[in-house]
Amino acid sequence: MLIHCPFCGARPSEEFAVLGDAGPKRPEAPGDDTGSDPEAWYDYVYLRDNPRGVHREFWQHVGGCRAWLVVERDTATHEVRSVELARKATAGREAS
Amino acid sequence: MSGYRLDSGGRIDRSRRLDFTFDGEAFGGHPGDTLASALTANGVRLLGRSFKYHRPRGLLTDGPAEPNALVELRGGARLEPNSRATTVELYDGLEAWSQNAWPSRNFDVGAVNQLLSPFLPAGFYYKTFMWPAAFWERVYEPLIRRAAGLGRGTHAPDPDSYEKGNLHCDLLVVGAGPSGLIAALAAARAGLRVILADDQPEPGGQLLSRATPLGEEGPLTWRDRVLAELETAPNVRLLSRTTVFGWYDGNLFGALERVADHLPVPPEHLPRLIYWRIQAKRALLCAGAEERPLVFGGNDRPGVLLASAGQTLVNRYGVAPGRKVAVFTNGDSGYQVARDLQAAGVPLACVIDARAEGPADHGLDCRVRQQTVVADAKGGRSLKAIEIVDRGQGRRIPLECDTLLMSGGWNPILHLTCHRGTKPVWDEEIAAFLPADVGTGLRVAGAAAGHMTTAACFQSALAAVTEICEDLGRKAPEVALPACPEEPCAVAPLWWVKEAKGKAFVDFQNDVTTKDIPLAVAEGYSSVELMKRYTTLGMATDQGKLSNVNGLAILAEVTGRPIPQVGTTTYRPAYTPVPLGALAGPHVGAEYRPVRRSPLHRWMLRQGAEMIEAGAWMRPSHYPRGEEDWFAAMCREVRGVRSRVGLCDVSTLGKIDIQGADAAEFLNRVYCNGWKTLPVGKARYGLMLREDGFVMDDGTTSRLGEQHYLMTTTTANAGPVMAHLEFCLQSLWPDLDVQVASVTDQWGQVALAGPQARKVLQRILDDLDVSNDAFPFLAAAETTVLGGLPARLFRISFSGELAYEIAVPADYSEELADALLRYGADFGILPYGGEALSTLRIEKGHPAGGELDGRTTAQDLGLGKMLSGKKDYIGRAMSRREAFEAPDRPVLVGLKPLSRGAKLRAGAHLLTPGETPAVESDQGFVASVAYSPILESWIGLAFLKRGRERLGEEITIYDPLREGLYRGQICDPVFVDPDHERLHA
Amino acid sequence: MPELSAARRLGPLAGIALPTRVELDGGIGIRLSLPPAPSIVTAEARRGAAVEMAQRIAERFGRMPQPGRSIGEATLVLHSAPETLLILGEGRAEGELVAELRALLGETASPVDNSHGRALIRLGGAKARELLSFGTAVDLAVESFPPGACASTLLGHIAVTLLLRSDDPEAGPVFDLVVARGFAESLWDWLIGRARRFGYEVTAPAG
Repeated sequence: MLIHCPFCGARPSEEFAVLGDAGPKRPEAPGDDTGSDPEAWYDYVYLRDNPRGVHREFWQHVGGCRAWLVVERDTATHEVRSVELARKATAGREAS
Repeated sequence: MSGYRLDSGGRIDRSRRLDFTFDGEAFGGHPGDTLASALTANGVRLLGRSFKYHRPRGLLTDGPAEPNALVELRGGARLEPNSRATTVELYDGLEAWSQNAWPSRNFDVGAVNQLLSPFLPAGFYYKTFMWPAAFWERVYEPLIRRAAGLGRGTHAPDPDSYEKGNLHCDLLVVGAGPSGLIAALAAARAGLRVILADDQPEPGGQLLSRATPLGEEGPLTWRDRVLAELETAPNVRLLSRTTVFGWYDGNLFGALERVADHLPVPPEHLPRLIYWRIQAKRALLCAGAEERPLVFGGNDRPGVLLASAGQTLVNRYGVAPGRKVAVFTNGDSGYQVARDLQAAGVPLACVIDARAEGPADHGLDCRVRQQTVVADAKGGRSLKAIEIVDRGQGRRIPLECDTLLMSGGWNPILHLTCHRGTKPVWDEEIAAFLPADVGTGLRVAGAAAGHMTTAACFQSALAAVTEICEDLGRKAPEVALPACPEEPCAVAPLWWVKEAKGKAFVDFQNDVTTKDIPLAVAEGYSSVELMKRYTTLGMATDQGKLSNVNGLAILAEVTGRPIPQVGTTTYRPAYTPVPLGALAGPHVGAEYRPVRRSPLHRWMLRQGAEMIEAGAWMRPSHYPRGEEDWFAAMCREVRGVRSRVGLCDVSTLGKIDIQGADAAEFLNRVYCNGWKTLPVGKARYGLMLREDGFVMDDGTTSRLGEQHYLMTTTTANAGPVMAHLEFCLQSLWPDLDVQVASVTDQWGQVALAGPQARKVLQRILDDLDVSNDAFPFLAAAETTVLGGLPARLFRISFSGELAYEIAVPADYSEELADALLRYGADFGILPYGGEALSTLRIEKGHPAGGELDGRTTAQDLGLGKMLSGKKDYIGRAMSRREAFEAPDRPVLVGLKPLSRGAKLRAGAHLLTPGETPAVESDQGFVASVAYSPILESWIGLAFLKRGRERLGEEITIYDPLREGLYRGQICDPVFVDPDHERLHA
Repeated sequence: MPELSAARRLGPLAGIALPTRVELDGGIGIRLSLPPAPSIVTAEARRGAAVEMAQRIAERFGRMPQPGRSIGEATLVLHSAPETLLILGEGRAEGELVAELRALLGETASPVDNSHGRALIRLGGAKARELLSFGTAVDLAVESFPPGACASTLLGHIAVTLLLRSDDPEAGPVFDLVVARGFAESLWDWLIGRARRFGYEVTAPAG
């Protein structure tokens, strides 16, 4: 499988490490214990989608420029639909 | 004797003789021969025994699909079983042995299976070797393997080297036959970067096997002209002896180049095989087509072979397949083979055509029979006669011949197009499967696309290159085509000669006959995938290249379904077998994986260190003196540190440079403890959690400047922690102004520990005051040592002694270590290794690998107070889970055996005395142990339920694997200097 | 601080990369050398300051290199990762290059000295591209990897940054390989293992 790193270009998947589902957003966690929703944390830490089809995942180009990426990939065909730098993909994303 | 060498013709060099042996018997051949052609030229016909019935078998094909002529090649450590004699290039001194025959291929005891064959139908093994289950591994499998195995492997280490490599191109052309050559030529002229890969020693494909001229010239004259242009084109790479075996995601192709298999032994500097990964913008499959056998009685007799194989023997190798040759065909292509044999002077017996009508002007001198089929082939180890059935007259006629060439139609070699899940499409006209449209990445041309004449092959190849040029924004060039011969290619399917009396083989390699398929259907295995598994049709080294289409056509007939509805089994890489050595490539032995070395690696070796692997790193275990074993050396080193001073390489600890306006905020978020108050020039112990609340890593972080920190990690977690920090910065908090960089390798770092550490240190410092007041515990400074060497100094301690860590840029590491040894000599300084380090930290109750195993919490480690309640950090929410605070979670305690000499073992479980060992009564486990030369006893760190309330309690240590039950006492995890006075001295 | 003599530096391949000449059929396809006492600095832009960092580089070197490209001569600036530079120098005193970059980049980036943390191996010769293709999946053909191009990749399972310094039709290409110091010896062994196939010469003394 090839992943088109936005910085380095197409590289084989061995140069990358996968973290998994890029869907869950880190919940708000105020400094004190008020407002921290345990259910949201369980979702964030443990619950992962595992669809057959298009899936957004975190990958790191660890054998290259070391950038974290959000890779949109079809789990059935391995077709990589799009790749973005995680910094851009997650910038301005509201915590849930 | 049947086959023989012709006086002229072929691509062999008759002026040179190559000597070789087969089953120990000596023969001669010529350069250009394969083992198969040389054996045939020597009249050797019986090449081995079949898999199940041990029937005599001979040559069937001229290429990689060969199911019968499998031999063990070479010997000793280079023994290569299941080598196809049809693809083994002859070299001087070649040694080969037949397989699956004992004591010899001429007299094989296993041939009794032929008599037993009524009792050995498909599924025999499944039905017979079922019970008792305990027999599967111990009795049945060895028995079956001995009786029905193919070649033997070797247990000796492989003496050859293997390589992996990467290639890139605009266009990969698979197959250098007429289609591939013209495609490569056109693409080269269009300026594309072209790779032309072909599995043969020389390009040409079918042109090598045929005599028919192209235009005014011989087929090879035309080939030579094309080749000359390709060979000089800078944008073309020709890969001979290279099989493209798989098509993968991203238009990657796997290819195996046999660099040295045509040589007796690979030259010392060359790999035997190269596994190429080819990244192709576009690919064109020009792999040609595979001729199908016909299915009739005794169609496996030595002397019955494919018509194309006979044609190749004559035209390419100058070998007559026999002295009286009959041809059995269901299409026009059999006639051309007969004409080629006639032209070469090979005596023909008859051409037998199953169709009512063949080509009118066949140009053959022998008799041609229409509407006639071969029902049975006779003879034991070599064909003697055939029985034909004239279907028009309903007569059975015996016919003498020593060789029968069969042509059952052509299957496009479309395997690559199916490797990513697409199924081929049935075509009535050529009675074969055609490749489906699999997108622009991989196109198909020539016979592989079902074009059965040279003219059509050329045109399809050029048309494909035109499309490819368009895709890639190039202009397709004009390429002049040679005039092609008339090539009638009609074919009428003939799946199964029902007049057969003897065994009619569908799959030669697996001994699957026409009887096995109806049997599979009768027993319920009528889907093609189940039929395959039940009968084994299409398995083993040839993967059904010859048998699959016949097999499923018969299945279609038996089940009354059309062929497209039966479908095919799944095609998977690799097209031909790929040796495991090639898949491993160079990554064996010393190159198994790269090794990471400390800048003090060679210095440590000079000090006599015994090195051990620690992840990728090499680290010193101990520094033995004289005859010391590790234990004695460790005890001496520990005593040396506790009583005097020692130095230890800590360069392998992860070091991460952290800068930026938000660096302190960042540390606050990735560590569970607080960082906002750490002043410049101070270090602090930090504990890092995972988001699920468990401990991830620990280490000290020092503040070097207002916006500059240096984090250290454990050796093992340096990589994961770095990736984690990068993830946090790039994905969680992209707005933080923080820059992280690994400086692990930049600094050579030495721990100097022991009561005399300060005195030694003072001798190397240029001007820093390290008195206890000026440089207290957890002080950090950037300074210089040894006359201007930049250095970083940290007063931190893993051993619990007065200790410092000194870091210098790595190129100066040896100078630093030498100086410490020199200046410390009169204090009795000594280097200590990982064993002593481990004992020192266990004596102090410092958690490390055994305690930070990913299942422990800060609370478990007695570090719950570090969990800040004033900020958010990774792991905060989950570390407050109820279970984490549960009072009976196992927590860190110290452990001593009750009897002084008793040895503790990590991994042992803890039980309340008197309890029966069981999961319910489990109280905890031992995480790390050491022999403490200070306490003169084994000590351990353990996790025990309610451990902190149980100090002084007796406990049962249960270690069923090693020492059974013995008794210990729970204590504080800090065994030495519990008030930490030495640390602050 | 007195200036340190470069002779005090003991590089990771000292005593290992010794001058050697191993011909194959009378030819030398690979040339290996170690630039003595190299200076190697990484610099990541401060948050939101990538444009300013690029401007500072452009002012000093003429332009900011595109991703995967480099600029400069005695001092080479590689755009090696997003918003990140890898700067290579030779013949500099200890700490000189990082100090110079701190002055040049100011508040726009955070330079980190890795002169001792990375090894620099110079690989040239007519067969240099072919040798590298056994280790990396980066397409090194001149169309996609012209002189000045750089790429971080895995070479025989070892993370390296490749830089094509020059490409002479006669002498062949010259690459610089930047590798973590700890892996330098493994990488050297890997290179020599393949260089044997082409004939090779190790020229410069170990730094």
